Amino acid sequence: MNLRRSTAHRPRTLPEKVRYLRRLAFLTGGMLFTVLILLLQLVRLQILDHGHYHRLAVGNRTRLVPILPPRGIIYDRRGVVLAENIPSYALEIRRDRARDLAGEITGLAHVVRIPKRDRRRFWRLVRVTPPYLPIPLREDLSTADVARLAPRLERFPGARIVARPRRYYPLWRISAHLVGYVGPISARQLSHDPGGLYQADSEVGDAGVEQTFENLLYGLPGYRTIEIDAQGRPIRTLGVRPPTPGASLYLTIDARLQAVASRALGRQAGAVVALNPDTGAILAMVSHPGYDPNDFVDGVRRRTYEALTHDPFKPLFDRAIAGEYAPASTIKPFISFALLHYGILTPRTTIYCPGTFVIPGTHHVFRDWLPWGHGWTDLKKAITQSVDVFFYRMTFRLGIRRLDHYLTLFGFGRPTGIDLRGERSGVLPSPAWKEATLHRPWYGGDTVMSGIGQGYWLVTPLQLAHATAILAGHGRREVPRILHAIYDPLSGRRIPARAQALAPIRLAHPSRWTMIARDMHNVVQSPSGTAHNLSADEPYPIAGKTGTSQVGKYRSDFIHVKLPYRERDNAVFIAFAPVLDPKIAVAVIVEHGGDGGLAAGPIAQKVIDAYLSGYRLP
Amino acid sequence: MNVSPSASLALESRPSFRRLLRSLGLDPLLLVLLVLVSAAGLVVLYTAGDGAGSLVLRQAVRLFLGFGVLVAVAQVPVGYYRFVAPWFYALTIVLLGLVFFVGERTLGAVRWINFGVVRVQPGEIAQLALPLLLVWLLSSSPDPPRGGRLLAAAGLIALPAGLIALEPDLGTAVLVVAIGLVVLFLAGLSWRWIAAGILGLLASAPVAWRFMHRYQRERILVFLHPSRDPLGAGYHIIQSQIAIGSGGLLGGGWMHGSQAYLNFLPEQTTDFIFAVLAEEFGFLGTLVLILLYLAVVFRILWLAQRASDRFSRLLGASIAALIFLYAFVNMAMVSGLLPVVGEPLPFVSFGGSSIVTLLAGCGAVMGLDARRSHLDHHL
Repeated sequence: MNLRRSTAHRPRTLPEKVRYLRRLAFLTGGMLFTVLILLLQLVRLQILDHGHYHRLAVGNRTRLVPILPPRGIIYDRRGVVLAENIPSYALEIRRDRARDLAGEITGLAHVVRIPKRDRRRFWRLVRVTPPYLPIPLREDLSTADVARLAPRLERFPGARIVARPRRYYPLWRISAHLVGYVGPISARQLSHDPGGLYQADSEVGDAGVEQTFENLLYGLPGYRTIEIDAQGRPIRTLGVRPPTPGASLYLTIDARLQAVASRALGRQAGAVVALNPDTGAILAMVSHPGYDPNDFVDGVRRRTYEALTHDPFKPLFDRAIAGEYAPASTIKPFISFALLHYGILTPRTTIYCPGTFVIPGTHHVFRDWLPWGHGWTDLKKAITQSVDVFFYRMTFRLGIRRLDHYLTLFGFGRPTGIDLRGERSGVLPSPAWKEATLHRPWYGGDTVMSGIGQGYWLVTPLQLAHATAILAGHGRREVPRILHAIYDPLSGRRIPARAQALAPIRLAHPSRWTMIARDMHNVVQSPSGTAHNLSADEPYPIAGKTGTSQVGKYRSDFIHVKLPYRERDNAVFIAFAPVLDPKIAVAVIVEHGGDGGLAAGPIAQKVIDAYLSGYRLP
Repeated sequence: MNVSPSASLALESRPSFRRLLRSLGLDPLLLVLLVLVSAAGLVVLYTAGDGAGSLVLRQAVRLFLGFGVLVAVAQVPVGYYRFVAPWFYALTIVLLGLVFFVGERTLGAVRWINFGVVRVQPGEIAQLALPLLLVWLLSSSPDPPRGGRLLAAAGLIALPAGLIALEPDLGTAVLVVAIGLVVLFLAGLSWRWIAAGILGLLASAPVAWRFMHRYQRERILVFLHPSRDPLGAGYHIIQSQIAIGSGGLLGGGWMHGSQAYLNFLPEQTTDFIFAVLAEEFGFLGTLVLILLYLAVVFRILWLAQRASDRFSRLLGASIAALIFLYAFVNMAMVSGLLPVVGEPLPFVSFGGSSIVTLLAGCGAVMGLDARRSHLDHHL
C-alpha cells in the first residue's frame, strides 16, 4: 500500500543521475553502432575486397619495362649472311638520375654533335614517356663519339651509352628487294598491334622477306618488372623475363648466284628470276635498279627517300614479282602445248608463211617480224625462228577461250603463290577480262595478237620463270618459294620449309615435253635460231626462247633503228638447262633492252653457267 | 610463505607506483591505455615519415608535453573549472577572431596562429573550450536544458562554429557543433527538441550547400563518386582505400606498405595515417586500434558516471564523446565512409594542438575523478 502510493506520487521528472545514465546508455549504444559500421567497412575493404585492392596497389607500384628481342638473322641457302644485327651505340638519358636535365643536354652537346632534330625529338619524348624509361638522345654514335664521350660521362649522371643491335645488310643493293629492310615502326602499325609486342622504338620489317616473315623474325619481347614510387621514379628491379629471340631464316637463294645475276643485269632496268624446277625454290631473284636497304634502318632520311621515289626508274619497285610485261614470243612454247592438246596441229603440220596473216573475211593484216616470211614452217621451225604467222594462224584457229583455259595451267593470269608480299597477277587475256576491265568486246584480232604474247598479255618475271620451270619439269607444278628453312634459337632445331605443289599437268603424249624442249634447245643451237648468239662453247645444252616485246605502237622490228630509250623494245628471255635433266629455269626481262636474244639471253646464260658450274662442284 | 626476493620486490613496486599515480590524481588504467595508443602512433609514424626518426622524435616531444599538461590539469580542483570556463571560452573566441588578422594561410584557409615558439590551431582549442563552457552552463541546474538556457547554449555553440566555418574549416565546425549537441543531449535535452533539430538539419542542407565553398562541394561530390576525379580531388580517398584494402587480414608488415613507402598515399603522417596502419598491420591492426580507442572512451565514461557532481559527469562524458568523435570521423573519412574533412586521428596523427587538447581533457577527467566525494563513491 505504502509502496503503491510512493509510485503513484513519483515525480514527473526522473532524478538527475538516472536521467544522465539513460542518456549515457544511448550515447554508448550510438558509439557501438557507429563502430560496427566502421568495422563492416574495414571488413569489406581489407578482407572481402582485399584481392582487388591488392592488385591496385601492385599496379600502382610496379611497371613492366619491355626488353626487345634480338631479330632473327637471314641467311642464303648456304649460310651466307643476308641480314644481321651489328651493335650500334646510342646515347640515352635517364631522367631519374639527371640532376639538371636541360643543363646536361647542353653539356653533352659540347662533347658530341646533337642535331636539332634529335633534341626536338628528345623533348617531345620527355613529355610522353613515363619517368622510369630512359629516352634516347642521339643514336648511331661513331666510335670516335663513343671514345670522346666515355671518359666524360661521369659529369653527366643522367647520360649513358648503350649498345643496341642495328640491322645490317652486307649485300647492300644486291639483295635489296628480296630481303627487304626494317624501319622504325609507324604510329599506325603500333596501333594495330593487338599482342602488344612492339614498342615505340621497335623496328619492323617494311619490305621483302623482312616484312613477309616479320612474325618469325621478330621473336617475343621479354620484360623487367620494376618498382616505382608515386613520382614514377624507378626504385628497384623486381624480376626479369628474358625475351625470346626471333627465328633465323635460311632462304632458298644462292647469294653467289644473286650477285652474278645482279652483275649480269648491270646498269639496265629489269629483273632476273631463277628457280629450281624440281622444288620451286627461288635460286636468284634480282630487280634493277636497286637501292641500299641499310638506308632504311633507323628511319630513312627524307632526302634519300625523295631521291628514290622521284627516280624515273623506280628503284624501290620490285620488278621481279610486281613488274608486269608483255611476254612476247616467250609465250610461244606454252601456246604450242595448247595447240597440240586441242589437236589444232600435230608435230608434222606444216603451213606456208608469206610474211603476213590476214583474218579470213577481213582486211586486218598481221605482219611477221621477218617481212618476207619464213616459207614452209612446222612447229619446230616456228619455235626455233619464232615464226609469228604460224602462231597467228594457229591461235586464231584455237580461239581465245581454249588458249585462256590451257595457259592457266602454266600459272599465267594469277599470282604464283610465292611466300612474299606484293606479288602481282599479270593478265592472261580473255573476253571476260576485257569486258570487265576495258568494257569493250573481244575481237578476233585480239586473239591473233595473244598468239604471239602481245596485245593484252602481261606476266611478271616470276610468273614467266615459274611457267618455264613447269615446262622444264615436264608438268611438275611446284609453288615458288623463298623460305628454305627456319632455325629456331630456342630448340636449336632447323626446320625445313615445306614445299607446296599443285597437281602436275599431264599430256596425252608425255614425249612432247621433250619435243618442245628440244625445239627450244634449237633456238640456241641452230644457226637459224633466234638466240644462236648463245651457242658458243656450250658445256651443257640450254633450252631457251627469246621475246622482244613492243613498247610503242606496232611496227616492224627487223630494221633496227636507234630509238629513244622509252620507245625501245623490252627484251625477254626464258631458258632452262640442261635440256633433258633441267636443274635451273630462268626468266630475264630487260626493260627497253631491244632484242631478246641479244640483250636478255646472255644474262640468263651467265646465271645458268654460274649455277651449273657450281653445281658440279662438291 | 616462501616468496623469492625478486618476486616480492615486483609485488611491492607495482602498488607503490600505482600509489604514486593515485597521489597525483591520475587513473592508472586510463593512463596506460593512452600511452599504448600514443606508442602505436609513434610506431606507425616511423614508416609514414619514410623511416626518418626525426618526425618520431618531434612527435614524442609533443606527447611528452601533452602528458605533462595532463598531469598538470589533473591537479586542478572542480571549483577552478567553474571559474575558468567562461574565460577560457572567451579567450578561444578572441583567438578565433584573431586568426582572420594574424593567421597563417595554408591551402587556402587560415587556421593557424604562430606564436613564434608554437603554432596553435584555435579551432582545436574550441573543441575543448565549448564543451567546458556548456557543461558549466548546463550543470548549474539539474533540470534538462530548456527556454533561456537552451537558447544561450545554442548561441554559445553557434559563435565558435560560425567563426571556424568562415576560416573556412567546415570539418572542424561540424565537429564543434556535434560536440555541443552531445553535451546538450547528455544534459537531458528533450527528445522533442532533438527530433526538431534533426528535421531542421535535413531541411537546411540545400541552403548550406549554397553557402559552401567550391572545394567543399567538390569534396562531398568526390565522396559520393571518388572516380569523378581520380588524380585530383578523388586521389586521396582512392589511394587510401587501396592502402587499407591491400593490407588484408594481417597486413604487409611494419615498413612494408608500398602505398606509404612509395608515397602514393597523401598526408600519410597526419590525416591519412590510419591508412598506413591498415596497410602495414591489416584488419587485425585496425581492430586493435579501434578496441584501444573504445577502451579509452569507455574508461573515461566509467570515470564520468561515478563522479559525485553533475559538472564532472557531464564534462567527463563530453570529453569521451570528443575523443570518440575525432577517432571515428578520421577513420570513417580515411576508409571512405565520410567526406574528407581533414581531422587528425587522436594521439596518432602528427601534430600538437589535438594531442595537447585531448590529453588536457583526459587530465581533467582524471583530476575530477580523484577528487570525487567518497559519499557518492559508495552509492
